[in-house]
Amino acid sequence: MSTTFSSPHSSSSPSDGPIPDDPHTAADLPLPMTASVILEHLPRDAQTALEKAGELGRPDRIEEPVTIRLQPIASAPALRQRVFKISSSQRFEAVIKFLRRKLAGPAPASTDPSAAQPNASAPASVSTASPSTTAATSKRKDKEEGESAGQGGSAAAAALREHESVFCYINNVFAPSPDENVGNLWRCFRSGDELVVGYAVAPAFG
Amino acid sequence: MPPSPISALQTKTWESTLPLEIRLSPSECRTFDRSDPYLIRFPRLSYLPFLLPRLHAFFSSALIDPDVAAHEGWLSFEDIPLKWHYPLGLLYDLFSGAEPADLARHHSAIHGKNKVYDEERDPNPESVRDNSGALPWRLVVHFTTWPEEQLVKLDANGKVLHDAFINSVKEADYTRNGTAKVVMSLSKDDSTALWRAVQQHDMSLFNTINNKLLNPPGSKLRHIPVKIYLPTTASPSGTTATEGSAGSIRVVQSLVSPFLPSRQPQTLGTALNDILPTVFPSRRNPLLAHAVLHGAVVPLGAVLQDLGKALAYADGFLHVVVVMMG
Repeated sequence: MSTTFSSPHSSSSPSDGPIPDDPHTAADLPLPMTASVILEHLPRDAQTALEKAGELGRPDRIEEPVTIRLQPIASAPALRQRVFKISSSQRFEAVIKFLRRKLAGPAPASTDPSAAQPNASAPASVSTASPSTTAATSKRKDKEEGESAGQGGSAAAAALREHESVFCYINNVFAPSPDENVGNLWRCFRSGDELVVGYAVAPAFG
Repeated sequence: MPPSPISALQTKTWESTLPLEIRLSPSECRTFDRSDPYLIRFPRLSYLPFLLPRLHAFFSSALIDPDVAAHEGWLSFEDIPLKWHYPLGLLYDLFSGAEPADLARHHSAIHGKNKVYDEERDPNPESVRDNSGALPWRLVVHFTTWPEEQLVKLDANGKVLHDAFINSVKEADYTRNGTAKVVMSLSKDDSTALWRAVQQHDMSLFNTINNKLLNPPGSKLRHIPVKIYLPTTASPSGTTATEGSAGSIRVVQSLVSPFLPSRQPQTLGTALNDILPTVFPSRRNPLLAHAVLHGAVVPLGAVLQDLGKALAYADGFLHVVVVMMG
């Protein structure tokens, strides 16, 4: 199931590099000792079945690595490159971390006006009504910093600030838990071959 | 009118509890000996953070640092931090190592013709795991050293917990309908009531709202929200082997239609056979593994759509735990 990126560049792909695999954001959950011991004593046929189950069904189910498209919502800064590859065994958290890094990068993000338009397919209420838990790690910080940050439009096109959160939504509908498996999300919610992840910067939404 | 089998099963699921024995982490306890444990029966469908205010109050006099807040609390089992956004019953079924109750042995079941559990297949009673040590489930509460790598931090007013739940509800609804229309049309009041129903563990309040989600006018059920939890010993490269853990759990999620292409209803067995063919090589009989919901083995012949109505967790998902036969 885990895939390495032996060929980081797919000639037909618009992406210029995959989101790197991070062992800290691998999706599988550790199992406590008591439950693990039971697994170790399984009959051979059960062991074999589990090994193969790691491949998650038929090969046509999942193309590895999977493609995600990062789409700004409302005034969130756009990225120059929006389509990325990521290993399906990563947690969604890897996408959030990657996005934060990209948005916080030293080069100001593209200010292409069309990119900054609100996503037509996303009613504003979707995003405002569903603040994401994905940004929770930085939430506490937000609170300490107060509510005033970034209220003005000036922050919109600038790089992400240290205290700002990123709110990510699948198809602008729901915010997955950071520990959800990217491969699962792609399999269930992709459009065409891409998992579309809309993102907003916290202050843009009440 | 007697309740339908589905609503009777749902009631039973909501009434189901687990006894917990919760101790304060020794490193946070000011007494040399361990403090008294906190004992409680807690609903399987509920979420552990609801206990934090009570745990904080109970252990406050024993805490080395009395200034920690209740929402900084987290629970662990055998040094594994428990995900607060998983319902208690799911955590227990995944982590306790307890043998699931064999539903088929007691009632030859909702779907009598598919007698699933065959005594002949499991002739040696020694293979039944010893559950005597599993209950009460012994957990440890911590109020410091939050495991940042594994758990998202909670906040004082419960918003993080609420948002995680509502987003899971949305994910389930999006799975059912293929569009966001239904869940988006849920009023603010309904959405608040749904969360209150979960907090207060009020099934009838829950059903008033949930029925709107399950039976949207003019929309047909496209997929049944299912997440499958698969144990695995083979640690894929790239996964960190956490200390004290030899195995891991892989969550498998796929879109599952209520009907097969043949128009036959999708059963638990047909779905598992399709998604995990090596683990469920037969659609009718559990050969290598059982499917477990709420601590009980579920017959593979059970119609998935019925299971979705009767046995879904409060977030709308059927969280199916795969338990390998020993």
